[in-house]
Amino acid sequence: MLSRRDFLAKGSAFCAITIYAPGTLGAQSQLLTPATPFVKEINSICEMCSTRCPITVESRQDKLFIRGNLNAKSFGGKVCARGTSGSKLLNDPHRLVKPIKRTGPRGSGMWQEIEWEEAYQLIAHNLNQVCDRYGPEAIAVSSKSGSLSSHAFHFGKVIGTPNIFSHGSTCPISYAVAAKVMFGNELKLDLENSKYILNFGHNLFEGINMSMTRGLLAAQEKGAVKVVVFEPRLSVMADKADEWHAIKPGTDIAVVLALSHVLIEEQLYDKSFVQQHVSGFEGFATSMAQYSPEWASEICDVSAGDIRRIARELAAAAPAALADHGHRCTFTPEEFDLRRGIYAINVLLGNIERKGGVYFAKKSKLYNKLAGEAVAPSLEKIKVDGLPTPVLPRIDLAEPQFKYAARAGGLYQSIIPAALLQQPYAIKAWVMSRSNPMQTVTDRTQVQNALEAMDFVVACDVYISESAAYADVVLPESTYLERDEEIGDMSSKNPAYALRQRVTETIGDTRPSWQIFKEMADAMALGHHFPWQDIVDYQQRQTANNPELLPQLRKEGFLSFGIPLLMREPDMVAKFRQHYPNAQPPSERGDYGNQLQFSTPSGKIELTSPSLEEIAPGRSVISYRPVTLKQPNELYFIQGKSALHTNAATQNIPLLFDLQPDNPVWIHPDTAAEFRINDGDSITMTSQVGEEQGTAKLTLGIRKDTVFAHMGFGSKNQELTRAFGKGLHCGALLPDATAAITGSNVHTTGVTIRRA
Amino acid sequence: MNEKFVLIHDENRCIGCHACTAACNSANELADHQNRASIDVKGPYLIDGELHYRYLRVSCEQCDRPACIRACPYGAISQTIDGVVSFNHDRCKGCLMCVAACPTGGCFYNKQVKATDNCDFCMKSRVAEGLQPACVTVCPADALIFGNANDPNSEVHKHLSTVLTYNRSIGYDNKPKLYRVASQVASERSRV
Repeated sequence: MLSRRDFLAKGSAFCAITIYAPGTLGAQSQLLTPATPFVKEINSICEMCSTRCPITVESRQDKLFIRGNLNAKSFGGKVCARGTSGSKLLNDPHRLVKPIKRTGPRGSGMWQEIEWEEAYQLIAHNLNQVCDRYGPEAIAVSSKSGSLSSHAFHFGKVIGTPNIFSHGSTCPISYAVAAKVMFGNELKLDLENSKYILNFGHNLFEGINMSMTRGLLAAQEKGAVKVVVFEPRLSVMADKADEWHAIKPGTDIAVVLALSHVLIEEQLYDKSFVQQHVSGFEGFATSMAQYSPEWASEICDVSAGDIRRIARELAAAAPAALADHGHRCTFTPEEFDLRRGIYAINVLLGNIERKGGVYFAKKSKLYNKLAGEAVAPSLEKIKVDGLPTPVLPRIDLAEPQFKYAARAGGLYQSIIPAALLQQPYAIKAWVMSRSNPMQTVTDRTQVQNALEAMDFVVACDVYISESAAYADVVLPESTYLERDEEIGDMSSKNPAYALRQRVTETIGDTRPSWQIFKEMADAMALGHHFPWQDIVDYQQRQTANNPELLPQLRKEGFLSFGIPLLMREPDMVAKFRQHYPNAQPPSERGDYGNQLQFSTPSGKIELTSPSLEEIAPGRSVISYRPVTLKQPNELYFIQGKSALHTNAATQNIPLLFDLQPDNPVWIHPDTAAEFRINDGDSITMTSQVGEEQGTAKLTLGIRKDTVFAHMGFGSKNQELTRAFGKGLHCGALLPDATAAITGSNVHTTGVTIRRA
Repeated sequence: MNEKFVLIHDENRCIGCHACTAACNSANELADHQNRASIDVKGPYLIDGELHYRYLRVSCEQCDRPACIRACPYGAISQTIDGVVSFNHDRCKGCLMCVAACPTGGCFYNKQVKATDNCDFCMKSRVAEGLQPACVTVCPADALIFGNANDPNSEVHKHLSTVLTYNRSIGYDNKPKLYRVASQVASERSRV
């Protein structure tokens, strides 16, 4: 049988000769394969996207097959195309397996392989220099969210910078901030038991989140649910829905407010729920009175009759009806009130903690308290004392309105003006871990300028990503198949934990991020702030009070405790009390509605938020504010997720690249005819900040005033050999714009198109 | 009792996500740009005034009367007693007669093994070990069902006797064992 390297050697005789960047697997002089043969079957967690599906890796002879872990029932033992392609990332000759340092100008692609020790010394020297000259605040630390971010963020705290950013403001921050302001906590959707689902462009059949996707499929399979989708294009989600409304981009908020208008005007809302759990209803109702369906239809192209009918149908199906809060779809600068408006519909339907509605994750603390006994083990929070207190506030707190956003991961894009204009103060160094702002933050040129303006940049990644290509030192992180990690909480209706563990020996000279950041701190003489010896020590500290949890998790990969519980569902509460005789007594209604707590200033759900008024005058009440997303002669440009790629991370992975190498631009045939564009033509797309080449895909499945492309393509650095120059770079076309309060980077803009 | 292994692709459930394609590639160690099975998302078509896609599985259909066997001059393709058509890579000379003869586009030249190849429902690999085919194992939408249609207790048997299926019309009586459930417009689906 041909080995991988033999195949490459033979392949190169026929194909164009491939040149591998220094440090990549393909550039290594000797054959690099795992040191020991694979073990049979190991349970772990996927990392091809951020959903973190529990997986089982089957190993036979020298090959891996990745499927879902059957212990995680809501995930069904299934994985998506990205998930099952994990082994392709592991063996990709383009992945980085050795630390490299830059030897030419930033972005020139000139690199030299170095040893870890030299890399750490370089980083320590440069970061210390920035600290001495400008203070630790001048160092920004950013990381993709998820389990691996905790070590990068801890490193940031250890060096004493307040400027720590997750990718949130380029992705899910809007609904997180809106939920925090209204409920004090984030909400989950009980899609599986729902009878009516409103979906505002949350394409669960392409941006696959396995348990949610399967929940929706299960509901549809039962045939008892009606799914209504508002989206400017015919996504698979829209195709599989009962109703698809091709809404005008960025105007979802009008429909949302008009639905509330009808629910209140026709007295269709859950009055007793509102009375018991809601604060600020009057102010909300007064504001909604002006947003009639007729008003909305003028703005959003959905008929007033449809809006009125949908509101009535929703109310009839309540409480087993919900409005999906969406994900990574920052349509408009008015994102905050859009997401608050969506949550308000759920509140009016009284579906909080009801079957088919929305609910809070039942972590062990709450669950055990309700059960009156320790049903589920709890994880210890690992506290490190004596961390330095930052002197200056975060750069994104210059405007008080972003108080909530700063807590939810920060405004990632605020690094750019801080680097270029020293506003509010200078950022001089950047530590990024598995993060690709060149693709995900808008206005790529400015991101590039910011990276070039830095004194020092260090990136930690599995590839020389588009952003890592501008770093001074790039550290090769082990892929998720090669590393152990801390235990993660995956609670939903009952407590649950999951563990990522290595399924194969490490290929090449890579290290897991927990080790990288600990060793970086060591090199800066700050190692004492990382008191755990290694990740096993870390895991043991997490499970100090429940030592049996760790071996169990190692075996099962995913463990769930107790029975599902929704606090306002009398049947479920009765069952819960049968199971746990010491359980708390129910309320008069036979449920735990009286135990519901909201960590908001009023302790209730805040339909209007007086405390917001202090940091953002005029924002306490949900209202409509007109926005201009494009000029009259322009087309709306929108983006979305694909089932084959994760945002800006997977475009170079061999099999996934093959299945979707680029992102043709969806154009309505009538619009295309106007510009004399045919299917497959090369086109040029121009926005106020950039110009990009792409390919036209003519389809009836999009509005005439809108063009669409999947995000993450069109890489501009040659290190990503496959993905380089394939497709259109969305970030290069999007101007820098930030939504109020939520701080999210706005992803809808105007463009003009022409045949190239 | 003879075994008859069949695969059902439910186009109603399929979301065109290509998990099957990727799983097939990784389980069968194919080159990156080659797949035994794939999903073709066609359309959108205008059906009763609504736009809808069609999700078409493209793979070997495991015919009961396979054209490829008759076309192969070297006897490199065989059919077992339970009807599974598989390719013998050692005997194949790469003349591509099978590829030309196949009406479904089900066989292809596998660059990795330098011989023609097909989807054999993973019979020689995963199914032989008592597992389900790779594509069926991962399908997030449960759109693929595999099993012995002659076993009255099997899920495929139940499905074939209760759900309306179709075979792709391919011009002559080759009797494929890939069955399909045609997609319905969702609004009609919920009315049933």
